[in-house]
Amino acid sequence: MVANKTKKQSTLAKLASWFRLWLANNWLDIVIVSGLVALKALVHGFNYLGFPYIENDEATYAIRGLSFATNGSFDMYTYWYDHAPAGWMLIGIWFLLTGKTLIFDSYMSSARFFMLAITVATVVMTYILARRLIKDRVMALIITLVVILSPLQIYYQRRVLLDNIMTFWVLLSFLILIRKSVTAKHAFASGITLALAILTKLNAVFFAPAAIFAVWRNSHKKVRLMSMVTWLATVGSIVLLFPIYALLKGELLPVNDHPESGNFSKGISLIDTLIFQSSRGNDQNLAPWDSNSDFFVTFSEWVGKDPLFVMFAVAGFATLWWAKTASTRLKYSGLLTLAIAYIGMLVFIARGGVVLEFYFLPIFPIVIIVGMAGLMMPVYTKLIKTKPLQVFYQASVVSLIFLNYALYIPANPAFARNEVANQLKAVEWIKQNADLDATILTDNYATIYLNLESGFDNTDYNYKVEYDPEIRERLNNDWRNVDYIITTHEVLKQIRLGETPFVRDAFDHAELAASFTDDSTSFLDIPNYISTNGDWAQIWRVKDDNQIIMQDSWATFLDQNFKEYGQIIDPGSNDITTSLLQTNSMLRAVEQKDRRSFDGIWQWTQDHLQNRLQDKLLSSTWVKDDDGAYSVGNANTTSLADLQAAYALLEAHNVWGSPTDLQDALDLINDIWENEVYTIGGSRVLGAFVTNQPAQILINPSYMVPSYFKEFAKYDETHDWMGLVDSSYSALSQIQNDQTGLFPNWVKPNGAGGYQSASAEVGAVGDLYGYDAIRIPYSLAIDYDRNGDERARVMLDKLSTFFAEEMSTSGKIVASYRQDGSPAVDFEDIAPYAASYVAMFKNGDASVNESIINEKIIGQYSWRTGEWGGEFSSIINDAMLPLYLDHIEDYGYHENDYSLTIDFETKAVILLDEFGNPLPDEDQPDLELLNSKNSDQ
Amino acid sequence: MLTIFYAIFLILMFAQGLAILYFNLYIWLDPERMERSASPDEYVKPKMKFTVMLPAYHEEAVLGDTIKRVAKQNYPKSRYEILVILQPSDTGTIKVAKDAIKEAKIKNARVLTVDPDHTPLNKPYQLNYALEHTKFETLVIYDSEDDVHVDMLNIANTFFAQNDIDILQCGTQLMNYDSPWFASHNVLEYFFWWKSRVHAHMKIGAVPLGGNSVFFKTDQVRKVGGWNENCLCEDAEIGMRLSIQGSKMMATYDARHVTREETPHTIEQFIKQRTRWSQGFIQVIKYGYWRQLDSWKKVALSAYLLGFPIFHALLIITTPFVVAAGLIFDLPFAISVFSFLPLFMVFALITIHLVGLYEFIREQNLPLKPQVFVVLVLTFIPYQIMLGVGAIRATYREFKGQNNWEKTDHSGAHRKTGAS
Repeated sequence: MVANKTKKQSTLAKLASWFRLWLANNWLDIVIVSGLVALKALVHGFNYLGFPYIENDEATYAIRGLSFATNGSFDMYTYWYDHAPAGWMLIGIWFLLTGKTLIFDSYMSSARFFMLAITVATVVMTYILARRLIKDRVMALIITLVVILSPLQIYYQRRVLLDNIMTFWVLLSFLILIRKSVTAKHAFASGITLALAILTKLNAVFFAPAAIFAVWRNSHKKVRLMSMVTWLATVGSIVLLFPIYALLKGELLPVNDHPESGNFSKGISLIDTLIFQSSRGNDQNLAPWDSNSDFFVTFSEWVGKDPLFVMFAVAGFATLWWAKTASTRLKYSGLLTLAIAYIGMLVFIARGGVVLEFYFLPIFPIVIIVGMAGLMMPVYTKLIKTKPLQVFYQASVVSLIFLNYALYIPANPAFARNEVANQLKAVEWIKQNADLDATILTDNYATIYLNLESGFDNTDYNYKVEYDPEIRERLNNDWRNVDYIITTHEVLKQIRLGETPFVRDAFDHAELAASFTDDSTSFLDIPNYISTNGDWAQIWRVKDDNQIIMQDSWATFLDQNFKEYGQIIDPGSNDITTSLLQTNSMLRAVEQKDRRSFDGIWQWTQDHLQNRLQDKLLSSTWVKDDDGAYSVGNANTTSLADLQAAYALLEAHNVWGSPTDLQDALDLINDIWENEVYTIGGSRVLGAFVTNQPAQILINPSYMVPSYFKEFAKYDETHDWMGLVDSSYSALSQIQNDQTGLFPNWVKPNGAGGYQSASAEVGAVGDLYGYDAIRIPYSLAIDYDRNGDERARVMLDKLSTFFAEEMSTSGKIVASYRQDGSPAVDFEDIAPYAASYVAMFKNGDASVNESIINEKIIGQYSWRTGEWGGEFSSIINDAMLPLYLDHIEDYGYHENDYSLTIDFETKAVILLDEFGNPLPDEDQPDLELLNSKNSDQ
Repeated sequence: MLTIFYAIFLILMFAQGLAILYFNLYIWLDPERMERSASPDEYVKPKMKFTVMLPAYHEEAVLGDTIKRVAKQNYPKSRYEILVILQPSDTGTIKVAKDAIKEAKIKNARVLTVDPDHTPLNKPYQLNYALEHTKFETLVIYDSEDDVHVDMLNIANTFFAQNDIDILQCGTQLMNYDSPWFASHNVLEYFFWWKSRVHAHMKIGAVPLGGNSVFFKTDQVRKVGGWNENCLCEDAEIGMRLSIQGSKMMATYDARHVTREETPHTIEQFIKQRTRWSQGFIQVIKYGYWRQLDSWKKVALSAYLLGFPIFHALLIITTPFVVAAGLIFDLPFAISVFSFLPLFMVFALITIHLVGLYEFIREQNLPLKPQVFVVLVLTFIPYQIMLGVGAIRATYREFKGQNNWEKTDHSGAHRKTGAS
């Protein structure tokens, strides 16, 4: 025991004396390295969580690290072998060691701090390597300063990137190999570190030639073979674990030959992924010097961000040529090793495939060391002979370097700008406003904050939502089940590149709910999915079903009926254009905030229908003759069209603020009052059109829209619009049938202050409740909805009672009724159903309501084509009906004909019919294939 | 339960693989170490006096040549003597030895016949007998089939002069690497052991010495009481005792000067030899005094080395079951992945063996025969099984108390293959 103790103490003493000796021999280097570490910590650590913005990949690796730390798996989602896992395994270990979020307030800040730690190590290794290879302490110091201060480094070393981890392992590997005498021991150690580099990021394999060269070159002849074999065996067996992992999971071999199953069951394959990734970008097949190649573009980015890096890269070649003849201040073989390393990586970068901007990371310190040696070559080769000139040359180079950084550093946004703030605000908004189980699509930055830190279990990475079968299944393969999209730079980019058609569908049917773009430097063009920086975030809420129908059916409607620059035609009636169709479309355009269509339609209407000399009112029809030439069909007005035009223009003015719209509206309002409002028996009433013969005054009750009159009253004080509201309500209550609550399509004044049948003028249809009268429940509903007018409710109640009884007795509501409530026709149609529904939307029987909605209205709509079906398909459905949906409660009803799948080979989206078979080619959407540059997948 | 067993099995396999790799590569880990272990380029003046012991039993075929060769050492005859130690009943060999001495007019050689009534009558007894009759300060043992380099005594003299050592272990090397089929493996065992591994043992200080080509300071041997006559591995056994005593040891391996030997000719011979060695190791374990070594490293290394035959026996017996169980039962995923580690180790070992064979052939200037490398790879596993059979047999024999010596035959095949 005693002997043991003395022995232990002596070991300690030995260690202590060794340490003292080490300090004494290296104190200057130790002081320098400490200073460099402090500087690096300052430059990197200051505002490290505020800049740059949290990029999707960063969060991806953090999430995977967390998955590894929590349950030993390689991803929260299905692991696709897009990268080897060693990088995030290390992050996971870091999470475990630091108690997850015990020390750091979030996983992202923890992961970014880990980058600080690992890049500090890189800095130290850079100095040691530089000292070893260039026997010039000052130069080693300057090399390391460049590595710390380069704007490229400042930006990307803060990012949680596999490349930063890979750089650490690569440098360590070279540090082990670049020494006087390499043996199997060093080969083993460097083999492990390079294998870890490769398993962190597979392209580290391009450093292998340099490492093999170093083993060969630096090992004694007698141990060379054994060392090389040891190195190869070590690297090989560790890297082999990756395919073995895949093999055991049954995910190694290609699955390409699986039948076209039309679903997600093709499985996953490491080999497929590797082939796919290595082919990515190759289809462009551009030479590196082609200005469109990724290499050229990225290289230009580097030149822009840090021209010095490129200067060093070029100077490095001088090292290759001259180093052998240089003085003893250079270690030739070590520099040669590093030069091979960086050329190997350049070959990879210039191979013609995808080049991402941060690919410079692993070669940066190497390039600076080799490049600095190259820059100092005139001195080391004694090209410059006299000492003063040598010093002058060196001083000039160094000054140039620091002048560059001195100019750049103070302006570097890394220290002042907070690019993350908007991203965090978006996260906070969701926490405050969304349900915990809301389905949220986002790039991974928010996934980690919401899903992993705050319990929003259905918050998922948009790319995985696009391609992960499990998530797609959870969403029932239907983007309409998405609630929110946290829109970011990355989300837009993936949509723009055509990688995420499913997400794009959801996004295209979403409304902006919150926008966080304060101080953003990004150029944003959301409709074209363009963003130039990630320092912003928006919350978009996916519309409910009704709104989606309104949007899509509007698009289809335009597609089928919109001609020239704003003519709406009715193909069912010899392409006739009516003022009602035009103005109806104006209402829908303004409701959809579709200004282009709105302006076009109104312009066309003015150009063609506003042709009455005496007033600005609109002629009723524009008809095509047998030769196909158009002319005015009926120059008389339709008062509802004039009302709709005026109202739509007022709305347009409210939305877009155009003064001409307001003026046009005011002109119309004035002319409507002057020409279409009549005083009969002391009370005012809206006529159906302009007439100078009191005996010819016809009334269409559905043209009386009290809510429009109320709106006009706000703008036009010279006329008594509110009086017209009262007299209209009193007229409507006289017209409404006491028993059934139904209204006739047409009436005329009876000369005694009342109304009578207009069947003599318009035919028997005038007495029916039909396609004219069905507008009445709608306009009453608007007035009750917006203005709470009780008179509207009373009338709706009567109608509602009738329809509910109809449903319960006959199980259906037909398209037209006589005033006594007997059916006038035997068919049903969507628009009358919608009218009935609007009438009883507040107080009807819930189950009746739902069956009307599901079967009779939305059930008749094709989600795929945006068209309305039904027995009596008419443009009335198309034109008017969608507006009714605004007043119908959304039941989240999804017709099962909107399904799609993904072809994993081409990544194309394929639409399926109700039997799950692909639709014919002409019905398939024209989507870009997923073969262009993706983030870092 | 199965999982735990599996994990332990894998860890053991992996650790064993790593240990073998480390020991086999030990000399390559440090070029200076390799330089130090090589023979000196210049010899110092002969000073030390040597007794060369040649114990033999029924070695009529080779002993005569061996005596003549040893007598041709480039060393002053007055400074070394040759003791040929034989059993009185072995009249044939006695005659061969005496004839050789007479024929070559060797002055410094003597034939000693041991006491026929002594039990047991074996090599350690013959050595002990010779120990009583030696006058010189240093002794060295050679076997009757050994090809001893003519400068061996000069080399030893130089090592002793330049280093403060008590024991010098010189390398021995099997030479017939191309036949029989298992010869290359056996050759490599010697190659890695004497070129590399023995240095690791020296460094740590727990050394099972070899049966020949070992130079001892005579007083060191006397101090530990000579060889153990009841042990089947008297060489390793005395090595352990000398290690405990703290004798200063050194090893040398130089391709030019190694003592050349030959592989057993048949599987039966090979297994018998291996059984004897393994059983010897088990005996040493049972003696138990190796636990007196003065550091845990030495004890651990001794336990590992001496216990290896038992471990190997267990391994050979359990491996088929373990593989079968791995295929039949669902094991945790991590275990499945890491179950490939032992396989990697096998690949690594095979690779190292290929390189070793290449280096051996190059060092010895032997003809490079590609088929030998193929055979090496193909027979790697069968050879391990053969070793395992030896180990199992040894364990069984020791358990049954059978500890008689199974002798190996020598024909002198290495002398035909050898380049010299």
